[in-house]
Amino acid sequence: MVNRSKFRAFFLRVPTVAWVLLLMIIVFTISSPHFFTLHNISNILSQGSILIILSMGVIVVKITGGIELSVGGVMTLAGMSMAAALMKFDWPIPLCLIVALLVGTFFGFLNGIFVAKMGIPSFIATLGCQGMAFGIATGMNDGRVFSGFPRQMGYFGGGSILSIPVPVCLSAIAFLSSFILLGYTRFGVYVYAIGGNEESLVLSGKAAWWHKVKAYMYSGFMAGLAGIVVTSRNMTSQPMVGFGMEFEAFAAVVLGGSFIAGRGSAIGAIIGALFIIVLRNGLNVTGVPTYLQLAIIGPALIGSIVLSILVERGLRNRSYAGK
Amino acid sequence: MPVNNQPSANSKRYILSLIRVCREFDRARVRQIAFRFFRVLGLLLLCAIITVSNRNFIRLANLINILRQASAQIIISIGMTVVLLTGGIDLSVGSVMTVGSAVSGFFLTQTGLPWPIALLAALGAGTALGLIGGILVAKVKLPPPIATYGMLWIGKGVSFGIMGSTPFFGFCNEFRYLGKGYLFGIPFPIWIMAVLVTITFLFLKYTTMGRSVYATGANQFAAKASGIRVDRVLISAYAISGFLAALGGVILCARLNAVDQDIGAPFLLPAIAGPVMGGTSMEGGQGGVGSSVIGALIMIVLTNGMNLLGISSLWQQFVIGLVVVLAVWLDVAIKKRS
Repeated sequence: MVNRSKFRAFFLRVPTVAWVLLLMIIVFTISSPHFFTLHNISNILSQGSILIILSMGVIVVKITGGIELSVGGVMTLAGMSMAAALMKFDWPIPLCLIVALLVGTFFGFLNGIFVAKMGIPSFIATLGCQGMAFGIATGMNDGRVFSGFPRQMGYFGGGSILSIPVPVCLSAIAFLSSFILLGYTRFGVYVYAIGGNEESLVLSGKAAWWHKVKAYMYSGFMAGLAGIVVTSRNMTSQPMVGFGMEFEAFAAVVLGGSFIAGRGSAIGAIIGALFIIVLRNGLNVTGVPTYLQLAIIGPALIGSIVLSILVERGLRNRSYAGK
Repeated sequence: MPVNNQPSANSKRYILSLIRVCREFDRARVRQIAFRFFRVLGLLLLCAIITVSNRNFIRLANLINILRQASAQIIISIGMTVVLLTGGIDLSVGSVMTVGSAVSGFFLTQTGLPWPIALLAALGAGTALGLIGGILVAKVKLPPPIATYGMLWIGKGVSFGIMGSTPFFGFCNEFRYLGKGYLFGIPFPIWIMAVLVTITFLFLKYTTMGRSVYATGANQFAAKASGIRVDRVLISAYAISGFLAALGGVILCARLNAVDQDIGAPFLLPAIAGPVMGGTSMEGGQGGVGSSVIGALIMIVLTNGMNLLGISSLWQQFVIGLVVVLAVWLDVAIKKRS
C-alpha cells in the first residue's frame, strides 16, 4: 500500500504531458533518423528558447489566476525599442539591453496596476496592453523594420558559451529563476496563495495587490528578455514578430498542468513549452506538409490537455477514496 | 386655537422632507438612468467629437458603411455575449469564422451544388464545432478558455485541411448577395444583423432557456439545484456561438468574394472586448445583447473616426487598446461605487 501511494504521488507530481512528450519523442525518433541528433536537439532548444522564456513569465501570472495575453506585443515592443535605442540614438549595447528589459517590466507594471488596482479583468487588461504595445511598435518607425545592427548584437541569439547556444543558456536561466522564485521564496508562496484564495489572503491582512503587480512585472521582464533574443537572432526587429506568441505561451502553461488558478509549476510550464516545440519540429523533420501539420497540432494539443485533466482527476479521486 | 401653530410647523417639516425625498429620489433615479445609458452617451459623445472635426462622418453613406462594417462583428459578438453570460468565454470564434468561410467556399467553387447547401454546410460546421466545445466544457468539465482554445486549433486544422494552401475566390452572385446586396436601400448584412439582434434579445429575455443562461452564469450550483439543466444550457450557448461565428464568416467571405486562412483571426479579440466594453460581465450573469451592439459600434466608430481624422493606421491599435482598457476600467469603477 505504501508503495502504491508513493507511486501515485509520483504520478501526481509529474505532469501527464511529460509522458505524452516522451511518447512523442520515441515516435519521432523511430520515424526519422534526423530527429534525435545532437544538431537537431540543439536546434529545437534554441528555436524554442523564446517560447520557453515567455512561458516562464506567463506561468507566474497564470498561477495567480490571471491570463496574460500581452507578452507577444510586449516582446515585440521591447525588441523595437532596443533597436531604436541602438540605431537612432547610438547607445552602447548594454544600455540597449537594459532599455528592452525596462520596457518589458514597465508594461508588466501597467498590466499589474490595471488588474490589481483598477480591477479590470486580466484578460481585457492584458489584451489592451497588447494592442498598445503593438501600436507603439508599429508606429515608432512608421511600420518599418530596424536592421543593420553591429555584429556583436547577434551574440544573444546566435552566439554560444562552451558550445551551448546563448538562447539555450538564457532560457535555462529563466527556468531556474522561475523555479526558485515559485518554490523557494516568500513571493512564490504569495503567488500560490493569490491563486488559491485571494480573498482570504487579503482578509488575513496581507497586501496581495503588490505581489500581483510583481507577478505581472516579472512576466513583462521575461517578455523583454524574449524580445532581446528574437531581435538578436533575426538581426532585425520587426513590428509584428511576436504576433500569436501570447497564445502559444498560454497553451504551453496550460499543457504543463496550470488548468486553474493556484496550480502549475515552472517544471510543468517548461515541459508544456517543449511539447509544442518538439511537436512542431518533429512534424517538420518527418516531412508532414504544412496544412496537415496544423490539422495535427490542434487535436494533439487539446487531446493531451483533456488527457492530463482526466488523468489528474482520476488519480485525485482515487487517492481521496483510498484515504 | 393652540393647536393651530403645531400643524403648520409639522406640515412645513413634512413638505421640506418631501422635497428632500424627491430630490434624493430624483438624484438616485438620474444616476441610475445615467449608469444604464452612459455607454450610449459615450458612443454619442464620440460621434459628436468626430463630427465636429470632420463633417463627413455624419453623412448617411458613412453611417450605413459603419453599420455594414460592424454587422459581421456584431453577429459574432452576440454569440460571444451568450457565452460570456454563462460565465464562460469562447476563444474559438475567429477560427470557427474561418471554417464557415472555408466550407462555404469549398462547396461553392469545388462542387456543383447550389449555394443554399453551401450556406447550410457552413452553418452546420460552425454549430458542430461549437457543440464540441460546449461538450468539452459541460461534460468533460474543462475550463472554458482551455476547451475553446483547443477548438481554435481544431478549427484552424479543419480550414487548412479543406483549403490546402490555395484560397477560394469567385463565388456566384446569389451567394454574394448575402454580403453585398441591398434590400430597401439598406445593405443586406445589416438586415441579418438586426434580425439576429432582435431574436437573441427576445430569446434571452423571454424564454426559459434564455433566463437559464443568466442563472447559469450567475451561480452554476444554484442553477443546478433549482432544476436547470446546466449541461444543456452550456452546450447550447457554445453551439449558438459557433453558429453565429460561422454565419459571420459566411457574410464576410460573401462581401470579400474570397476566402483565405486568416480571414477570421482578427475578429476574435474585438468580439471579446466589445461586449465587455458594452457592459457584459466576464464573471457571467450580467449584460445582454445591447452590450455587444454598443461595444462593437464604439470600436468601429473609433476606427472609422480615426481614418477620417487621418490618424495613421499604425497608431490606431494603440488608441483602441487604450480605449478598451479605459472603458472597462470606467465600468468597473462605476459598478464598485454604486
